[in-house]
Amino acid sequence: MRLVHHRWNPWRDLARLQHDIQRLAQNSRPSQPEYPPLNVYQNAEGFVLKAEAPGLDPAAIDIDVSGETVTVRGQRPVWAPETGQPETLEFSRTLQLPFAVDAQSAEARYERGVLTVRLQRPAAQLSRKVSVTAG
Amino acid sequence: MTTCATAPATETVERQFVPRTQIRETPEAWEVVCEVPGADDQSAEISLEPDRLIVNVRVQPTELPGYQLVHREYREGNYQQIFKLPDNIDRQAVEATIRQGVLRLKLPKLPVAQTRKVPVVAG
Repeated sequence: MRLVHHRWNPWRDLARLQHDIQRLAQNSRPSQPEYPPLNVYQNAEGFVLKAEAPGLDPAAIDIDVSGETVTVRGQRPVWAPETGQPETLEFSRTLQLPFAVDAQSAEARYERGVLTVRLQRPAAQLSRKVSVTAG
Repeated sequence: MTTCATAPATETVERQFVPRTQIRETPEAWEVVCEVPGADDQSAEISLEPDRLIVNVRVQPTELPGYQLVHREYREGNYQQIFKLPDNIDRQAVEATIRQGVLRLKLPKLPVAQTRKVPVVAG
């Protein structure tokens, strides 16, 4: 049996711990949740995005649909405790979809403080049933 | 004005949340703003009790037949908030509005009692 003698170096362990914590912090999710919070619904034809965003000015909501990407921009109200007047904060959120959607047929509605975006897959990409002819 | 504990959850599976709330006091009134996305003017029930104001907001959950929820960042549910009221509220003048999922309450204060001299008549 060989006795292996290690000299304990507390500084090396501390440095390693620090490095591990830093790496963990970088890999972990950001502490600030993204705005607006999104729920995504899907069927064979496309998607419906719902976003909770109360108090927006509908005219200032900007939705950009391009390929597999949807970007929602707007101005959200933030109530400053000091003045009590709503201030606005610009926001922009981009969502990557698992497949491309047709920009032309996209529809959006903002009511009751909820933004709903309907996106269809391009017609050419929808799977269709192929009828079999017996011959 | 402060918020106090909400009523216990009901037996149903409906969720209940406390809305994000901001309270501001001006010399004339208390102004309350609650974020209640999914609600419109038909959704809210506001009760003014002797010492508290109870706000109940019902939200219709999303129904998308044929669709599957594939990514969720928020849950839908009803909202409740209970406010402990100060004594000097003009109860007849309380106003509530909802617009784009934001409930605004205005609770005007009673005018401060003026000192008046009381005339004395012989009797």
